Amino acid sequence: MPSSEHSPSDGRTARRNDNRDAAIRCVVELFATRRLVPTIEMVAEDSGVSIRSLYRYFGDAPTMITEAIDRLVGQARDIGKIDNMGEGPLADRITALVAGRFRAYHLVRPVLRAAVVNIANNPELDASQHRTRALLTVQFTIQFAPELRHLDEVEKELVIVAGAAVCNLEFIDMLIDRQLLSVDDAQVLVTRLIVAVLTP
Amino acid sequence: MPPRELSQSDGRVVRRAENREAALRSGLALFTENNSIPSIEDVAEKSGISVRSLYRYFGDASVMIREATELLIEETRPLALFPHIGEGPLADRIATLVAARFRAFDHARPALRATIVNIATHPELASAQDTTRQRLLLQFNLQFAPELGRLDDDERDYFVQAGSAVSNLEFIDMLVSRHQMPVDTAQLVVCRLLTQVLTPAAV
Repeated sequence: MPSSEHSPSDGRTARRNDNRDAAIRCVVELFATRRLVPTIEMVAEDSGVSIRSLYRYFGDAPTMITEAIDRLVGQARDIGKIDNMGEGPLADRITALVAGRFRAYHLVRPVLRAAVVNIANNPELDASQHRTRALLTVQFTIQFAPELRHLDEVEKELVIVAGAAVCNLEFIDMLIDRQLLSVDDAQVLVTRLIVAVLTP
Repeated sequence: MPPRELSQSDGRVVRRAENREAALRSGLALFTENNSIPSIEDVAEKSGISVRSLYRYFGDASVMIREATELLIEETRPLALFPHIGEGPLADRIATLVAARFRAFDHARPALRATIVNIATHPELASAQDTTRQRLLLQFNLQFAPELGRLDDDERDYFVQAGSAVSNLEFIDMLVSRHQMPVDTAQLVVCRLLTQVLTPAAV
């Protein structure tokens, strides 16, 4: 039996998805040029998707911005993944975690600043950032489970919060963007800080 | 000789200085409430000072907000100071520096958040931030001079960069505002991190 031809509704769905993708890409490009709170009108002008369609897809600008940030953060989560978590010598596990965080950082760098700017007036984005931070803390906890399991509860909690703070993406951004460290120096610094946190 | 009475022109100078300060405080309040740079018109409404006077004092909103943040920094500065810098055991010096940073953070916190939010889009806010960072860096260098003096240049750079990063006001804000850590826990975390960074330099 020949494969069924695409119906007009399939075409509409594909076009809608293409347009949404184009709009999201456009929002990220605007972030990269430091236009951190894009409006529907700005995205319509740059992406070629009509204002009416953008309102239909997203409802409003904060939802569009949240979706753009979440999508990039989702991709960063994938490239920040570590194989064989919690296995191998401590030094190798630290190197693997820090390398993963810097890979993720390179991808999300344009949206980090935008997230800080938009979060003040966007509770949904705030909640989503908290979920990401919680996931990164879980990754830290699993990666260093061999060291953490020897600690009492109070000590373990302190090591986790301190360790998670010095390898999160906001901290890396502060080092590079505000303290003006080179990426290599920032990576060495984060590595040494984690060694200091985990070594009694 | 009896004290000279204020002349009309002295009175105008005093009134102008009072109005300027009132405007800066209203501007700062709006900045921290809304996380955005207020317009001259908003500041006029809040402070009761005319739009025309505000334009005469500041020229535009960006100059006004820069002056407002500089005023806050000058008020915060004494809170971050402490006596006997660089003297005493390492643990005491760490505790003293961290306590001072948290006093400064507590005072500057609302405006700090608004500054961090707006700095990318309003470069005029960056100069006040840079000045603060340089002062805190100098304070760090003096407080831990006994440890830093033992290191070669590369190692010293690392210790200064790492120590400054985990004790600056933005990092404290990150812990308290973004990670929602209680202030006491955040202070403990910063103390521990500084101890862990500096202890190898002390031996």
